[in-house]
Amino acid sequence: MTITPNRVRAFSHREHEYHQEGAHRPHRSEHTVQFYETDEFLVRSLGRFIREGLETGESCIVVATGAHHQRVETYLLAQGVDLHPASKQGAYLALDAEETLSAFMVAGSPDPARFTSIIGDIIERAAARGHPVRVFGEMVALLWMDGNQAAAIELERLWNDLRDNPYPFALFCAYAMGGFVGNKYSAAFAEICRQHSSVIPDENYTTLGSEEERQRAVTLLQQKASSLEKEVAERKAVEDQLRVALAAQRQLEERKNAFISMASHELKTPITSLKGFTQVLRQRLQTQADPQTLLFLDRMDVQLKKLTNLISDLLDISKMQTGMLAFRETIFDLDELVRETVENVQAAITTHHIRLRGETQAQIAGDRDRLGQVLINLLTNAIKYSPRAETVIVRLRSYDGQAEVSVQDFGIGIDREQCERIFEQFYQVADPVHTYPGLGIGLYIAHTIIERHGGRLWVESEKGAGSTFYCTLPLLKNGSVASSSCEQRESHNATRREKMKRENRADE
Amino acid sequence: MSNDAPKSPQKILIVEDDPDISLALSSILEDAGYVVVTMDGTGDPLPVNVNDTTSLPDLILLDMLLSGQDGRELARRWKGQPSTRHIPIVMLSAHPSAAQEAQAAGANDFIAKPFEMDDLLAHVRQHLAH
Repeated sequence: MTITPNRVRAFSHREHEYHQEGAHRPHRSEHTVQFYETDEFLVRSLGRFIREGLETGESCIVVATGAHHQRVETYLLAQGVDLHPASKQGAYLALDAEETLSAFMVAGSPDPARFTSIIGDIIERAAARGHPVRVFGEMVALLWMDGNQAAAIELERLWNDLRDNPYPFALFCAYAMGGFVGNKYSAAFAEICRQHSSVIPDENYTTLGSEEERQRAVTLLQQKASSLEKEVAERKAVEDQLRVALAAQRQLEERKNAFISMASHELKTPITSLKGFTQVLRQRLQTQADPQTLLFLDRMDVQLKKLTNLISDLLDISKMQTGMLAFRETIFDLDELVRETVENVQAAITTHHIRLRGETQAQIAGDRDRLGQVLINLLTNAIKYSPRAETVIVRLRSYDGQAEVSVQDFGIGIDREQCERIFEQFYQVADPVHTYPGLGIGLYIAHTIIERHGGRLWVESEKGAGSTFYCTLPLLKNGSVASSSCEQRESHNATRREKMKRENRADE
Repeated sequence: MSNDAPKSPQKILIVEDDPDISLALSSILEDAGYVVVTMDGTGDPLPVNVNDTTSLPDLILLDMLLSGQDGRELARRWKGQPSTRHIPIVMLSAHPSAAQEAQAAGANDFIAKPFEMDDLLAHVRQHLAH
């Protein structure tokens, strides 16, 4: 099925549209496309097309929407043309566009065989009267407006191919301008229209009286077209600029990541030797030095640990901002992780007693170290923001397919308005009396980690009455992981070095 | 002091390009009774006669990102050599995510920098216990 390009008649003012009395008569086998901006214009054009056909004894087939059928009937009646007698004689056939369309659409696109058979039959029956046939259709327009541009283009092709059938017909199609502009398919569609059709300018052109006015209008149209082209080119240039800027931005992000990663490595290197020397000194002075010297060395060690954690947090947040934070998923026992973490945090503090209540009995799929990091953050916050309290309570429970860990403190609490904001980056609770150390990113990191595990982290608090942070994590579904969870739990419980040692022995 | 130990002390090779970290590491290990050999990773990858088993270290502490060469490459080479593959390698790095890379390079263990002295000694003892 080769498609031979037809003569393009756009803007040829002698054959421009059906609205003007006798201005354009469709040749047989001609496919005419008209763009319209208002329904009124379409109805007038279609009315003219039908009236002209009926007056010359042609058979008219109108495949239109119910609304357009109604409007064109009313319009023609006002013009003194009653469609009912023509309809009875078989000279006028009104088909519903949606129904007809659904008869040959298969899986969202027009089926060529069905289309040819259904529409071919209709045209054949009309042609049986022995008169030329003219068809108005807006099924393509419907598909276009529906957003199924690919199908619209395909149907447009099928109509063109149908011209080769033994019963030639004139086809008139109309497309709403509004649905045509600014679509990625519009260029392809316009190209098809150009190749096969007479394209008629819209109402702005045809409602003008004198030849001179029309010429001016055509010139204006051309100017408009070229200014549109210019605009498209400008937009494209802007898009290109944006793309370049985006690529540069991405490159900068990558460089920033590499920098932060390198910087954190460089910062940790001197800390490593500082810490090493501090601990060697502490060890060597254990039996010789006075208690205060030993205490100073201990404080140095604690401060070095803080410094290390700050550097890790900075590295984490930079990774999070670029979505580079990686998780290593295993299946593990949540209660065990909580117990371990509570013990570790408790071992480093003397001011508070951390009570652990309840259990989840939950197996969790996730990054054990990262989730441990969240717990440490919640516990150290609880301690940090309750300087006058002595207790922190950690509660564990399971419900509705979720495991919940909550950390309650009896400290300064948080204003209701601030409860949401504390999970934002760089946000710290403002306290006019005290200042609290930290970068203000711990809860943001914790929140991101929990969210990435499909869980939730929130706080319930009142100013002066302490805070309770709740963290939920989805439970593993029962049964499905029974065996693998045991296996993986075992492998995780064995520390990395034990595991590696086993492998080493196997090597020997 | 370790040289005077009655039983022949176990030997640890430290490959670390930062001289202060190297000094801190060797001080910790020497205080704990080990014989320490250090190198900065720029010279001969294994400064011992591989055929003389008595000269081989009992454990290697290896910095992952040396300025001279890649610690992972050294680990691979030693683990690929029949005479040295039995020597446990403990890799050190300031990149906390380097544990997997260390394992992939054939290291037996990984310690993140900065390390805790007690933790380091526990890891070392565990590998030398058998």
